[in-house]
Amino acid sequence: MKIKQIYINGFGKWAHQEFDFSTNFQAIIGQNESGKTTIREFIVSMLFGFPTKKGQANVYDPKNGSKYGGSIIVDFPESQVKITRTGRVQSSLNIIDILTGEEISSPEEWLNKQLEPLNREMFDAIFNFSQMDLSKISKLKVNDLKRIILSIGAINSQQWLKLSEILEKESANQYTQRKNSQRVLNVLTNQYETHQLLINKSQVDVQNYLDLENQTKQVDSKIKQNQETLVSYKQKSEQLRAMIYHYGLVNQANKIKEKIKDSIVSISEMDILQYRQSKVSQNLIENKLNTLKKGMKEKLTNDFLIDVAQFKKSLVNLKLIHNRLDMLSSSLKKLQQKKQAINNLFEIEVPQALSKEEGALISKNMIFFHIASVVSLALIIASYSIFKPGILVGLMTGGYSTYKLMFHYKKIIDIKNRYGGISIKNIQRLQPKIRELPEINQQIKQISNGISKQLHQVEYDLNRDVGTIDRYFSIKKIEDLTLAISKLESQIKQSELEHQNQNQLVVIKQQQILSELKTYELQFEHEHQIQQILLDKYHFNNDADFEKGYFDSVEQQKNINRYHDLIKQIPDDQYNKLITIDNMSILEQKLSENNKQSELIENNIANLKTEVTKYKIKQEQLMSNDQYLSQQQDLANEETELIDYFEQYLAKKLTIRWINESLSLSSENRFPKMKTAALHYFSRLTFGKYVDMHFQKNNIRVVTNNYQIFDINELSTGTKEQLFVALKFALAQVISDVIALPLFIDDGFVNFDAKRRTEIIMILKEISKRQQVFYFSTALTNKEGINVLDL
Amino acid sequence: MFKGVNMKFIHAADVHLGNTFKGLSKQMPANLKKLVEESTIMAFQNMIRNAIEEQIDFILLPGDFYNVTKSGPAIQNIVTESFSLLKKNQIGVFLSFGNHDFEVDKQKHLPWPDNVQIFEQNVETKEIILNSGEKIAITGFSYQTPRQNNSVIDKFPKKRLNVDYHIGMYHGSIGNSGEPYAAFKIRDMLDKNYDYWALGHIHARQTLNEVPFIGYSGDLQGLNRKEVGEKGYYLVSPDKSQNLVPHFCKTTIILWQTLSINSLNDESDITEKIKSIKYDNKPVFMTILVDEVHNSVIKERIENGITLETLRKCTPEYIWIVKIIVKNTLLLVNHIDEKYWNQALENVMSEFNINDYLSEQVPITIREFFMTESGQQNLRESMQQLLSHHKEE
Repeated sequence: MKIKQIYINGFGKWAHQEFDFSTNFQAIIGQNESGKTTIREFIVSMLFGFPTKKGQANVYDPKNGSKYGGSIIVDFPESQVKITRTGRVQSSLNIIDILTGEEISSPEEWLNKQLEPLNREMFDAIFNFSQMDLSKISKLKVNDLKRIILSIGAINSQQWLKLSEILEKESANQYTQRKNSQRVLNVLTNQYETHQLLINKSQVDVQNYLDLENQTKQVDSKIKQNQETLVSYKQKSEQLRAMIYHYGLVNQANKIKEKIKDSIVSISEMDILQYRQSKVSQNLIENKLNTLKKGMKEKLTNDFLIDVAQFKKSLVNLKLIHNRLDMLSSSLKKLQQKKQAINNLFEIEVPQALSKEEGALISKNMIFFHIASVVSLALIIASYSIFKPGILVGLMTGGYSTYKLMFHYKKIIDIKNRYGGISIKNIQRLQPKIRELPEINQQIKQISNGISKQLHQVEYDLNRDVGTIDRYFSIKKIEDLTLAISKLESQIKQSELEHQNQNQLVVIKQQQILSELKTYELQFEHEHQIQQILLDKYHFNNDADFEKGYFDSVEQQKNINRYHDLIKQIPDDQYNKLITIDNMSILEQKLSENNKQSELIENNIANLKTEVTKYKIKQEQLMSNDQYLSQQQDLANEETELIDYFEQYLAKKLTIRWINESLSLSSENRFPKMKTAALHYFSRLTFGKYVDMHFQKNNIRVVTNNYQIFDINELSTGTKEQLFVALKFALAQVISDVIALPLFIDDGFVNFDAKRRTEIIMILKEISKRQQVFYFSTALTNKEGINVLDL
Repeated sequence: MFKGVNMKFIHAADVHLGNTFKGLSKQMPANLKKLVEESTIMAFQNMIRNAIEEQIDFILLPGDFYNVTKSGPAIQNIVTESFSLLKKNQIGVFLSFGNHDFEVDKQKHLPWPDNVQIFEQNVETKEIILNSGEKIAITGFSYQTPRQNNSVIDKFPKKRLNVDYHIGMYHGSIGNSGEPYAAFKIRDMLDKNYDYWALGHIHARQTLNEVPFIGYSGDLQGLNRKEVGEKGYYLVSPDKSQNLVPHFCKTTIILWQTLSINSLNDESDITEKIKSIKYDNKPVFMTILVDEVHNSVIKERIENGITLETLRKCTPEYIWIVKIIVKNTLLLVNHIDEKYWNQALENVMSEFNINDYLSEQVPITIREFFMTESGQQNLRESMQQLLSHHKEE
């Protein structure tokens, strides 16, 4: 690769500047601050991109405000291109193929491919070379120098070595193989160990659990034994209870047996039934006979339908009263005729008779008053002329007389009006007759009352004596009485006729009864005979004996049955045993002893069961306390954590080894190739003093022209620097087989003497035949064959 | 199907009861932690329930039944109760121990119910007569140490002629004689003429030979992030031609899964993918595998664990994100010295001996982990991360 031209649009102090680099060896000469490094940085930036502000690096912002960036023209093995980059923050890349004039489509990718496998870092490491690198050499410790020199063959070795240092420090802080160290990983490891021990201890629980299991088994078998014993005791109790019961039965049976006597005759049920039936039949017959006998006692009867005597007595009475009433009735008629005659004297009604005063009035003489009135008048007239006060007397006597007269005549007129205007004389004549009338009326009334009273009495008496509900005599008139008399008479007659008939019937009936009586008496005798036979059969005297005998017989049978029932309930084999036992209390005592034993065993079983439960609870506790799994998982999680930490630690440790191994591998591999080149340069720089060098695993040795061998640390500072430069040039040369980028040497070799500097320039000239060399310096003496850009 | 008409048995290797799960974080919620702790037990109980439902004749447990030789009373109690339940249902148990639970029969343990037959260290054959009258021979052995370097397969007898079926129970892996886990070759097994080989040790379900079946049923529950997918046991019964054919039955309690993401630009790329995972009645333990991260901020967030924390907060309850792993493409690609760096890494790793770095005080399990392939892979990744960090600085 060759950089032909650069155009700086704006970069650091440079603006709108074009530089042509026609030759392969390009020297750029200038004083300090003249912009040498800026040019170098511009070229590198055009290839690998502008620097970023990271780490406060110089980004070369244009000082005069020109547009940041520029372009370079580069020859790649297969093409010539113009690379243009502008803008630092938002930079754009543009590449044009100069031969075809075409723009390359993916410039970044294309350029990366051209520069592959280099990046900026690696480019710096291989192709950049500055005085700084050299000046470090003199300050380095021997071992470090060795390492650096050894790893020149590796790319970026310095940075890798720095990383390995950091890792070494970090890992040393994390863990050490010393026990009891307080480093993080040592502490965590100890913790883990403790936890593991704790978990192992919890294993003891299994033994406890198993012990409990065994204990449970033992107690269980004890329980079983006890239960078996208990069953046998219970059976014994059962037997004893049965014996007690049977013993009671035997006792009962014996008591009943005592009641059974041979003397009691057994009476058949048929016989007692027959006897009882016969007895009932006989009673019935007897009743019949009694009834019939009573019927015989019934004589001819005087019974009538009615009370004939009473009827006859009433009849006589009625007839007497009838006669009397007839007489009363005729006198009443005469009185009524007389009354009628009086009434006929008057047109309307008979007036009232005159009272005494009225009689006197009528017959009274009123002449005095007539005279008095005349005298008075005369007096008045007389007095009028003679004596005037006499008038007053005259007036008074006159007035009184007149009044008396007027009152008298008025009363007479009233009476006349009452008597229909007949004369006073007639009135006076009729007076006795009128006065008789009330007496007649009185008599009529009395007789009428007497008749009705008697009728009423007769009605009452008659109904009381002979009346019945359906035969009521209603007697309101004398005619009714007549009718009643005839009624009574006919009834009496009828009753007497019926009576006669009845008596005839009685006679017939009694004849019938007599014959029946005979039949029943025969039957009665028959029943009696039956009874007698039965009584004789069982040697009883009477009914009562027979009945009692039967009762006894029944009782006897009951007892026999009960006895057999009781005996039947007792098992045969027990009976013989039972009758040898004196009394029940022996059995009861045995039973209670047996029960006591059972109870004891039951308690025992209960206690044993409690014990088993206790064991089970303990086992369950052990199980619920069994955190074994959980603890193990905790430990596993702890282990995970620990593995993570150790992984970090080991990764660091191994990375250190990896870095060293990589560096020594790459160096070792490159060194054979590098050796020729390096030896060539080293020999020239030392003017042939050193003729050989040996690369070993951890060391480099150099050989002088008189075959002395030196270790690196035995070399002088100058020689060390020369060896470093020789190796570095050799590396760039070896790498250029892969990719030949320009070599940039910035202010190098200031410590070299003039002779050696000239030699260096010669060497660089040689190198420039293979790859472009940019040499930046303050001065250059021999400028032959070198394109010098003097700033 | 009625019992006796067709023989039926279960082949369940690597139950790993009481397994502790490595690689889980202390930050895991308590309920999930409890589920994790009990997951192997629950998976086992699932199987026992199914065994009873299916009315199988017997169950074969060829090794690593327990995760470790010693166990607590709680697990032992569950085991004896479960086996007693099988006994009640007339189901036999054939148990042999593997490299994880070697010597369990020599440890303190609750008494085994008498339907359990345990194989001794030496190869032995047990016979069982089923209700159907069929006669089955089962040959097996137990580990008495964590390693079994002898070629045990040679000790297995040929198929018995007086039985209907002869089954082999074998805890080990294919390999050459002298290798630690009872190394065998498929040829050796075929030579025995058995009807079925119930293998244990390898946790991934796999068939080595179809007829007769030689294969691993895998574990009942995935034990770490690498044991992804549904796990379970084989329910085995004869087909029409009397060949014993296994049918896989799930028992997974916690489903381990890996979510691969090719290129990650944004954290939401992950959350959206996670949200699309449907809940299938069991919690999912998710490992996220990222091939490439472009965004340096996200890269840093992932490395510092911030991404993991953020994701755990916003994922559904049934998903637990175990880890985010970023696959580092080799960092020094296209470097002039690439081949030297690669060579150097191989050199370093092949020379790596953990005891050079860690004292014996560090638990053996941890030291051993770094000697395993996955441990070393982790180391390589971390180392590359360290270099890439440096490069960025």
